[in-house]
Amino acid sequence: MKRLKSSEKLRLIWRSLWIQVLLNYKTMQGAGYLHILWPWVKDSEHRANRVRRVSGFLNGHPVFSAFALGAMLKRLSDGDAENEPEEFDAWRDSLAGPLGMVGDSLIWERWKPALLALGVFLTSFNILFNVVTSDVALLLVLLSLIILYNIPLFALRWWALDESYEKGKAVLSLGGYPALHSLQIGLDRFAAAVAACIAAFALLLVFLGFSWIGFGVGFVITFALMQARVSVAVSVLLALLASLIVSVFI
Amino acid sequence: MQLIWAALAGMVVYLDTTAIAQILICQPIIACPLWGYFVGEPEVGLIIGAVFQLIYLGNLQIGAARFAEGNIGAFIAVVLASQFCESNNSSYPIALLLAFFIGLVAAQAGSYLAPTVRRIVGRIVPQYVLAAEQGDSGMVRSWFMLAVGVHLVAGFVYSLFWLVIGSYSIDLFSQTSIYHRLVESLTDGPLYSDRAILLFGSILGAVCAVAFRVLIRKKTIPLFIFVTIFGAIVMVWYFSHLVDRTYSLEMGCLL
Repeated sequence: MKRLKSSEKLRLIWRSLWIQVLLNYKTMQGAGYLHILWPWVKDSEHRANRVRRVSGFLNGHPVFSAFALGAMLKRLSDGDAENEPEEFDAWRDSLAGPLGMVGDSLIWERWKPALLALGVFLTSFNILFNVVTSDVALLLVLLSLIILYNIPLFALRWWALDESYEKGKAVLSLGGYPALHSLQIGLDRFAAAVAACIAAFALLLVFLGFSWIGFGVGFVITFALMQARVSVAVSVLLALLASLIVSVFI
Repeated sequence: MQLIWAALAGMVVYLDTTAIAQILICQPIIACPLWGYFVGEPEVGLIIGAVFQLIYLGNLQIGAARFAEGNIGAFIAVVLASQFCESNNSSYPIALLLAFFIGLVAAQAGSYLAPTVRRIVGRIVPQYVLAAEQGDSGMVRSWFMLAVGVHLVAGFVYSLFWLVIGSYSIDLFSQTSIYHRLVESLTDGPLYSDRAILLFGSILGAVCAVAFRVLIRKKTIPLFIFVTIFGAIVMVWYFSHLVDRTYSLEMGCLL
């Protein structure tokens, strides 16, 4: 069975980094998909039809676009865009929900915040305890954060292109991949452990002389306002205002 | 001139946030310390980066949703704070508080930036698709580069706008009597006043609240409690046995 060459995958991944440039409210990432697939579409004798098929509405997590790209390439090479254009459009529309939900839930909601919070903990810990004194070493910590974040994402793109090219139309069956659920649970635990490190660090700061009254006021008011769906910035500013008022009476 | 460089860096932050690559260099905990090192105020960069990172930890750029530009807000805050520290030796707390406030406002106002850019790009897309249908590779490239240009200009202009407004506002504010009263109320000789310590404690509490809300789920509460207790014991032990306490106490006040 024909598979994507490594050079093709590299080219797809490079072009997929630009998928958000053409994001708009009508077709969302649709034109971005056209940008990525353009080298594979431009010389086709059915170019106009293929352009219309791949540039229609589609939206998902940018990293998870690799799943749609592999499957689209496979279907284009099978001639599905010419043989079953309406079915192709309906299939493309059906990809948006799962690609968005799974990608956002895994990457935006779990992996990215947990890793960045870990970065905050490590750098703050370092300021206080002076573990790494060299500026260069601290810059290396920041660089390693970037690398640690991106390696799994680029590996996922590479794997997704292969798998989705093989599945073609049935790409959504990859949603039942058993590792997906365990990955979510693992990331939740990782995030909770990072939050706990921040909590322990905050307790130590209060022990070192930060105002526990200020901490309590800031924490309770921000948490309560966010529970009431007030925006983060407004919650934080109101918490600061409340602390100022409290400071007048102390 | 430094504002122009800062606006160019802000443009990169904007691009990585919404348009190109999204490889994390735009995040406050990365971009702010980098700028801090660049201008010789690494601690300001780290502190502002850490605070903004936790505040906007759960900021999701999902689909058509409107989102605050927390990354640009943080970057503007660190540029203003480091500029203020450089030109004014009246220590960190005032600079941090003023820059923090302006950064938050810039971030919230930025929620209109991405929708505006997407509407403009929405006018380019039909031309781009038409050129593709006609097989005109040159025009396809041109329309695409125009869309990239829209993002570049948006990031640059927005950053520059807030840097100029912020810089001007801080200059004006530092000449008022309110500013001098604020300095007096936040400092106590060479030390920080109780009010400043209470305010910083409040910021710490607020960012912890945001971070916990994003990172902890009902199922992971037991794990969170267990690791917090264990972590607190380890840190107190580490602090008591291995650390230069004088340095840490000084940095505790600075933080």
